Amino acid sequence: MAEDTPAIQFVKAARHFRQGGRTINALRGVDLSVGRGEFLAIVGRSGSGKSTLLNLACGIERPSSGKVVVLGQDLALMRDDNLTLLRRGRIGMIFQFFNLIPTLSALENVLLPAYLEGRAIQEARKRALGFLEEFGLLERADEYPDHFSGGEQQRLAIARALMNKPDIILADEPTGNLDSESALFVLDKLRFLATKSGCAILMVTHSSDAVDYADRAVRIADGSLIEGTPSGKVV
Amino acid sequence: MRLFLFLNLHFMVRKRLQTCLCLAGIALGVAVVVGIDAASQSALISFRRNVDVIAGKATHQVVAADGGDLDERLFPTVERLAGVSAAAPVVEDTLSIGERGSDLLPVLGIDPFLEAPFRVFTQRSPVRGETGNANDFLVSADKILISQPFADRHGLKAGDKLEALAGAKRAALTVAGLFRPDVEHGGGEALAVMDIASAQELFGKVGRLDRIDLLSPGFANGEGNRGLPPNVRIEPSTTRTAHVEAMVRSFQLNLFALSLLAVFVGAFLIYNTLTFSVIQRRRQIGIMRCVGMTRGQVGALFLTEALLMGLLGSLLGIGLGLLLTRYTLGAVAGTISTLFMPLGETSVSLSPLMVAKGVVVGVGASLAAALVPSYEASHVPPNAAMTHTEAEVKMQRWTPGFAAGGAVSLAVSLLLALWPTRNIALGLASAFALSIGFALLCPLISVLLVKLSTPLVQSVGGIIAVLGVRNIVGSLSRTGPAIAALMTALSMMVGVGLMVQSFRESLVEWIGYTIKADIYVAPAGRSAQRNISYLPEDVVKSLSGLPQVQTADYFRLIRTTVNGHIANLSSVEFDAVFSRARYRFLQGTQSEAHAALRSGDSVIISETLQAAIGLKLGDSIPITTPSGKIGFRIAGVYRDYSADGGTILMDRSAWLRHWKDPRVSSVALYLKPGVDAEKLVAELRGMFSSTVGLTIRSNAALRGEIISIFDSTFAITYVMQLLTLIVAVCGIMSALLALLLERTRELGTLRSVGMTRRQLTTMLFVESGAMGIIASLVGIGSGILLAAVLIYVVNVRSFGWTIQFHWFPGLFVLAIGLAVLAAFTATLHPMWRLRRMSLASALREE
Repeated sequence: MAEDTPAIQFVKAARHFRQGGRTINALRGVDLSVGRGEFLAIVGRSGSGKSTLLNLACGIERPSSGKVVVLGQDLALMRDDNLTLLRRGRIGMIFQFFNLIPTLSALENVLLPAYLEGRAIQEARKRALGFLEEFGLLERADEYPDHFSGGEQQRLAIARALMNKPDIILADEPTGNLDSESALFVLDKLRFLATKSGCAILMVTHSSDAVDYADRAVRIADGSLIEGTPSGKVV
Repeated sequence: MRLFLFLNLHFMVRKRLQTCLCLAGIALGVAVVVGIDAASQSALISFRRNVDVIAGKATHQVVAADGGDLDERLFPTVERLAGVSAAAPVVEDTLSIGERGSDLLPVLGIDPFLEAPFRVFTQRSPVRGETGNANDFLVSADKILISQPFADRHGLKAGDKLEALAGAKRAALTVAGLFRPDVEHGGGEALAVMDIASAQELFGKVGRLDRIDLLSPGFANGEGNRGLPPNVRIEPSTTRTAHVEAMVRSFQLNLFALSLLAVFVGAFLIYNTLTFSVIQRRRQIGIMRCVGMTRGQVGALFLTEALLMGLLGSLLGIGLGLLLTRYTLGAVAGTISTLFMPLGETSVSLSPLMVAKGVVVGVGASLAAALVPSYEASHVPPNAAMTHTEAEVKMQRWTPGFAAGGAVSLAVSLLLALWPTRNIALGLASAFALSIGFALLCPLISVLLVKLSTPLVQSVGGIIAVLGVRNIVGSLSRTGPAIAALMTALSMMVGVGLMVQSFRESLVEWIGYTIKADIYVAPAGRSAQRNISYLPEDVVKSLSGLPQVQTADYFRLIRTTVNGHIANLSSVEFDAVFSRARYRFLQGTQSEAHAALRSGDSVIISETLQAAIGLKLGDSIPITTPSGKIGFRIAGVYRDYSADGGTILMDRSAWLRHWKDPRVSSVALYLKPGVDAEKLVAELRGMFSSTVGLTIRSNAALRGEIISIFDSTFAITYVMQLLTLIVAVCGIMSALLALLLERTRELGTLRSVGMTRRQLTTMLFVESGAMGIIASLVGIGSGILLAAVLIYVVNVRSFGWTIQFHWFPGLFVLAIGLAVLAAFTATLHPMWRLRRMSLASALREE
């Protein structure tokens, strides 16, 4: 893939679904690109379509029309298993409610993508422990997620997202459930990843503070991108 | 109440699969209880009615206390006894009808001129095409009156010929007429009546009576003699029913206990469904609490749900139970027919009490299982009704408590097993306490097994497998009850299976060292009262004169009563029997016993009789002979499985000396070396088939027949095990479905971070497979102990015989295989739902 190819590209991407006999237009022909190393924030109210956009980007939903191209691959043309492999190897996901696996320890949660990949465990373990040390959680590597605070759980979730050295990070309200200190940590980390690691970051958020960390931000309303500046550098 | 019903019905319909699984579990459990109960009660009712018809209005009966029959010359003496207002002589025997002689027809030989105070048989008017006169049965020896239902079943009418076997004798009879027993509540569906003289001739009892019926309301309820000869006893006419009722009660109690295990397994299902319901409706509970619903009302809401499910499940179960009764009734009625009296066509009687028992068991189990979830639901604050995570936290906190309860239950089980008593119910309570103990230990054992096996699981199956097994501990509130349910079903399968197989193996061993003759000859006509079938004298002579025969055992069997306990008394030729057979003596030795049996008035008794009457080697056992009670010395106690009431064996020389009755019940032939037994069997069949009805079997054929009877007797337990296993599969399926719904977001996360569908499928199969393996490992351990309780406690207290414990590793492999298969089967539907699940909506799930 050429360096100048966008990491994520929505081309007239639309998503409709039926609900109670009505057609809901979650996304209406969105055109949007996220470049490599770019940190893009999507802002909008609940139900505006921002989460649908994120779901399309990682292939857990498919567009009703238009296309979504991720790292040069048209997701509509990929089989489910290939989409899973793409998510596992090249996309890291961060959720508002952390979504850690309660039956795995902190270390095992971080290692999960590597385990699923079947990667050399020793090497992966070293990397996972490195993340835990970096995030101040090394001493609690064998504890289970329910013993961690929200901020700590989100740090674990970020470590898990980074485990397979992704090209893209998709973050769904990553600070929505955190105190301000933890939120700052998360945003700093994402900013760092975009700048230093060249990760493309697509973040959905309500928070105007979070927008300030992004390279640019777009507003979405009723399934369409609209002009305007919520704050910072919004296109 | 209306609000509760509305809320519950709405939820039950919305979660219809869970509801259906739960209802199926309750219904199957109740069906097993009702099926067994209705069969036992129906057979018993049928038996009582038949006894009522045969005994009529008699208050007492005069019988031979020595196990034989009465001299008819006794009748005038009895008739003149003070307090006797009426007396009637009776010959009672059985005809075998049909090609294989399998349909039994009880026959009453009566004196029509003395019958009126006792029994009335209303003659049915002749219909077109019928010939003859019903009163002919008074003057012709081959004329017989038969009951209308039996005639209808066999397409017989007056004037028809009836081919039958009376013991070994072939009889060509003519139906003189049809009658209806004149009794209020039915009974006597299969019954024939003959003139007493004709019956005496037909059954080889000329000059003999089986009993004399009395109308003697002033006589006491106990047994007595009233100056009659010492071998004669007067007993209340209800004595016969009492013996059968005792036998059926024991049979019923054992099967009822097994059927309660099925309900116990079903209770886990209800618990799981209710817990699931509490978790699913947490928001609803929270809202209800906020708008003013009290804690008690919240608890009542869930108890109402349990009540609804219990009621619906019980009603379904009663219907299913009636279907099951068609199968179980045959087993119970067959046992009574073989041992006591042919019951004929037995219809299912479902009394309001049986229905009530089914409902009480179903609803009771439902409410008991609902107590904990209802308490949980009512004791959470309005703003934070219980979530799955909270349920797990509580489960983890309670696991040591459950284990402690389990240990206490096991201790109670041990205490009840070792308690020096012959109470069967306490033995069964021990088995129950054992099952409850292991069920309560299941969560802790599951946690320990998962922890211990994780390194191995990780090295073999990687993180997918680890996730699978860890989910068991992570969702213990769900998986614990499901494992306990499956474990209990498997424990029952292994326990009952080991007991039955050990019994079978012990029987095979016993046959191996006792059934040693080469050929066995007996009357072909079956008899419910085995003491009244004899081989014709000429047949016995012909057999003893055969050149191929080295020696023969002339076997005679009667029923006698020892210290109020009914037992078989058999006379055998010990010289012949001990020449080949090696009996297992529990007291004394075969050689010492043989010497004592030959020389004097000694007997050997079976361990079952010893257990019942408590006598031991060297004691004197009182046996009523024609000349009165004589004390026979016990020369040995041996193992025997031939009769559950117990057996006394005496040498034929002693029998002839005391009873002076040379008639023979059957003959066992010991052939000279080199003689082909099968060939001789064929020759003998050819020799006798035209004149008498005989059953001539080789050693192998007799052994096979004994095993086949054993297998058919225990077939009912396999049906019960299968039904219990189905309940357990419903339980595990319900648990997995609930787990899937509760962990939707977790599964969505796994998929979103890169778990493929195949990996997810593997994880779920590992999870369910591991649940199956844990359940089977605990179930095998529990089953082995259950088998020990059944063999060494329940069986000994019920029947008095010792069964050697035998190991059947195949049964363990089968248990593991079935458990894993059951668990995999239960995974298929959740898996199907998972594959249809939208990943995006899964991630949105709370």
